Amino acid sequence: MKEDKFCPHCGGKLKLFYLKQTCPHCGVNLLTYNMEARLEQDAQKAAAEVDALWNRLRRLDKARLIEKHYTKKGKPLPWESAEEQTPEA
Amino acid sequence: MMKETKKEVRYVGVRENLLFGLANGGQCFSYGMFSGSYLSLFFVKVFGIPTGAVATMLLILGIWDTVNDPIMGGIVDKTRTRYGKLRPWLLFVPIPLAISTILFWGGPLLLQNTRELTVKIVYMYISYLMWEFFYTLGDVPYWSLSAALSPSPSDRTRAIATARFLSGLIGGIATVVMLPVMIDLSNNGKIAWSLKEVFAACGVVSAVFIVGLFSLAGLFVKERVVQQVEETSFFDAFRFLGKNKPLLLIILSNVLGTVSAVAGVFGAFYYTEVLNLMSWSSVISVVGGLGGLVGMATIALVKKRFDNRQLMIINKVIPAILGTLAFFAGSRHYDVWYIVIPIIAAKNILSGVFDAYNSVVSTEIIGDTVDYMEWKTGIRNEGMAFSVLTFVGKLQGRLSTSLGTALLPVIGYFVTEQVLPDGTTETISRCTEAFGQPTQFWLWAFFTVFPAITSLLAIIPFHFYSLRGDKLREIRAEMKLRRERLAEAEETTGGAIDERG
Repeated sequence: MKEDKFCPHCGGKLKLFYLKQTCPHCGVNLLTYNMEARLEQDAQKAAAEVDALWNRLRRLDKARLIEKHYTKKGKPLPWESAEEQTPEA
Repeated sequence: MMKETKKEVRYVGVRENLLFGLANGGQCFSYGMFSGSYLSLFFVKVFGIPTGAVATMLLILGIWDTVNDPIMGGIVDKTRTRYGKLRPWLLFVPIPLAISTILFWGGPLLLQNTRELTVKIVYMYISYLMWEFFYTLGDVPYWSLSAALSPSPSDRTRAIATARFLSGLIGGIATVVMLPVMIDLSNNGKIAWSLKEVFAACGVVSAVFIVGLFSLAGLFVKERVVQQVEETSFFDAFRFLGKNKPLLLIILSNVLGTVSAVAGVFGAFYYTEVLNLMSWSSVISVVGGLGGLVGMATIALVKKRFDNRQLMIINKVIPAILGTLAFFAGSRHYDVWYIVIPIIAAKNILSGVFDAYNSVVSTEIIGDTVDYMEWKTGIRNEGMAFSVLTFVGKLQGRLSTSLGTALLPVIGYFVTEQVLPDGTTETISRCTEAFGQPTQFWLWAFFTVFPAITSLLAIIPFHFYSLRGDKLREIRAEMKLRRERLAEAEETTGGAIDERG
């Protein structure tokens, strides 16, 4: 993964077989540094992927079966909820 | 106007979820061949090793597993690297696992000119032990990752369900399509390959799946649950295991349910010896897979109605009833394929739904016990907790295969070896009778009703299982707060923080 190659704090390059948890350049803990922000980033990325998937399904669903089903159940449309979903800080 | 619903935050994207599942598919493709159904057949009929020696080896190695898996769990829990504590193992294991898989299944081909039984038995022990070692090195971290890839329970459920679904699908190619069809083609002279060559070729295909798919977990799946920085001692992992009452109850339940897995062993012999066509198992599994699909599609709905404890009980009771009904429905016509095949198919479709629920819930509750231990002691021990899951899965396989193989002569099934003019050997099997009934009847009974009834024993410990409902919700909420505090503290200090106390 791209984030395995550089320190998230100082941007220093990390060797593939460097296994220690602390950055050899700045000493920050590479696994836990800025964890909340990274989780937030992952949540945004996941929401975008879910959104893209639902939109793809929406394009395939010519008979608008998904839309009818969700409207009938009184639930928000899945592509709308994916768009609105914001990660908890 | 649409109703507003509060959704849990999702951290694991569609792609990562899929890659996690595909990795399990690659792993299960290999494991499927080692399951009870084929292992016994491979050793006895293809390798030509006496049933007594096979049963003894499976029992000894089954016991070794009781030590092997928790040791691996302890090592994983001690691992601290910048990649996490699980991913390094998943990055390393696929290559040696693939090599050991080829060596194992290629054994009869490599030793085809060897008449010394001792050499075969020694090879069987070494190659099996080697495969087992590398498989454990990958299996414990893989399932531990299901609890560490996200702090969100829904992410975990989704990842486990995807992994179970894809492993059933891809793993099924090995056990449901590739092996049975190849065995039949070879047995009926449709291809010029002997069974030794068939198993060796399948071993190579299996190795390709391991490298191609199982590697994906280490390469692309992240660990997101903040772990305490300080290493736990190796023995701490065992000490904490004893404090985890819900986990101990799960272990007890799984051990009590071990005997029920003999159905797999007798299934293989039933199809080859009674119905005389191994491919029936493929047809049945494909049809039964429909139930699995329904199960995977409905698990989210079912989980809204029942908690994990209730589901664990339901998943044992209904298949037990179905197995008993199938036995009685086919007890007079167990050798008539057009009567028993529809019976087995109907039973498998229905029980497939509950098997699917069980495969997800049984993994998820282990994750719950990891959260519980972290809440109670401040230490997350995914490695140790999930080693229990993998250990019990393997113990079930080995003990049931060992027990099933040992029972074969008791129900009148015998195997003899004949030396052919070209110097190679051929094994010949024979069904007789036992306790006033033909062997074929006992194969049917041990395939259907016996495992159904014994599986009910596994329900007892769940009567005492309390990790559910409000208690579990409170634990999760508190853990979320604690992890946030831990991450903040580590960010400001950058050093080792002990979250206990």
